[in-house]
Amino acid sequence: MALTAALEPSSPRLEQPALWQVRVLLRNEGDEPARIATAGLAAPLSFELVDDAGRPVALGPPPVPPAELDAGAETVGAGETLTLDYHGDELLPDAPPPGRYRLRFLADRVESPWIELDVV
Amino acid sequence: MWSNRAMVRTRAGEVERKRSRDEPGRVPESAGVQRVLDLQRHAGNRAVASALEDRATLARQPAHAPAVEAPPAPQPGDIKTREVDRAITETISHAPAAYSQWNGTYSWRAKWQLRLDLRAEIGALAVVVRLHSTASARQKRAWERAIRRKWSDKFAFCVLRNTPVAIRPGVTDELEEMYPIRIKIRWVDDARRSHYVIRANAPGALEGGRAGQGGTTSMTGWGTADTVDITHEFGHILGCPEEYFTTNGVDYTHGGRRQGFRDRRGGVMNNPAGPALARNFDVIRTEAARLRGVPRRKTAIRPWL
Repeated sequence: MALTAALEPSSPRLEQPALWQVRVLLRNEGDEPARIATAGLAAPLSFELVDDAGRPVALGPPPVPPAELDAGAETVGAGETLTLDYHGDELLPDAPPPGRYRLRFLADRVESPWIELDVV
Repeated sequence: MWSNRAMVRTRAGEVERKRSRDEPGRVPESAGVQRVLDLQRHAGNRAVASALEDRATLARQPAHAPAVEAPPAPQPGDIKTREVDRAITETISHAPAAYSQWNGTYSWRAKWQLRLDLRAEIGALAVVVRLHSTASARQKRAWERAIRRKWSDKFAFCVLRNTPVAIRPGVTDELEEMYPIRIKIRWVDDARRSHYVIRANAPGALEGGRAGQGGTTSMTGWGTADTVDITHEFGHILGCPEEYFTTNGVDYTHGGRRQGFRDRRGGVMNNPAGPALARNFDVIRTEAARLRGVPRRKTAIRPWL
């Protein structure tokens, strides 16, 4: 599976998590279709947030695991892209203290580059 | 209804039904329970406490107390309130391989207002949660109803006596005060006045098909087709950690005998379809003890009819 991930935040500044969004683009760079269990890609399970000093910041509580993880699986064809949209409050019910943070998508052996995020 | 150890838990009406089945002229032992229950419900904690001091009074209470007047207006000190805002942290571990992404440490804040009504005629502990959402009024009612059915009037916050009162040989009453815990959801128009902003998710609306049960995706992302998983998410708002896989060192697979999540016999924090459990009111108990001005060890959470 040759998946790559990229993040597109609605803004580099986060004031209220509920009003902020981040889009994840999962692209299948391989020659074969890739099957992704999206039910396991809930926000708190799929992102890593660190503060300016590199310390991990805990995300909000995850949803209850689904009885069947494969029930929500998506197939991404070769060369195709799966788009996942997340609201900020899915990651953080409350904004962390103001400051500079870094965020990346990290799930199922796929990781995106870090993006900078200013919490104001 | 004033001591869950002292007496058989009896619902109103059960005594009458039982009496009709009993032999004529025999007064069932549980009739006394009904008298106490009725006294508790109609006259409150103080009357029950007084009755305990004077058994004769209790014995004279009719099986069904007469209607009483409306409770008096609250006097200064009758109602205590407290805004709660506590950090909650949980660590999940030992998830099976397919669910390993659940392993990790998570954190959020439990925010609500506690309102303790000390009036003997009323005696209740309200957990007031102010929510803002752009969802329809009908949707809000459906969510609210599901939450109340799951969490409200199931347990009571109790203050223990210094010395339990002997009722009869082998039976004691240890509860001095008993306040049913009621969940009050206040929908507010101004998001800045709310404890939480609830985002309404239509099922499947989120791209990629990752929407959860009926659209519910998180503690504050509630599905428009869901009235089950939101009761679990509301548990987080009350300060409850998960109760699946291993959380905070507690093995919810019971040594591998259970799946460890969405178990048939699991409570709401394990299986959203399950009931709220006494331990799910732990944060409320701690905060209510502070509000009442008693040490936490002098309090308990007990079932409420």
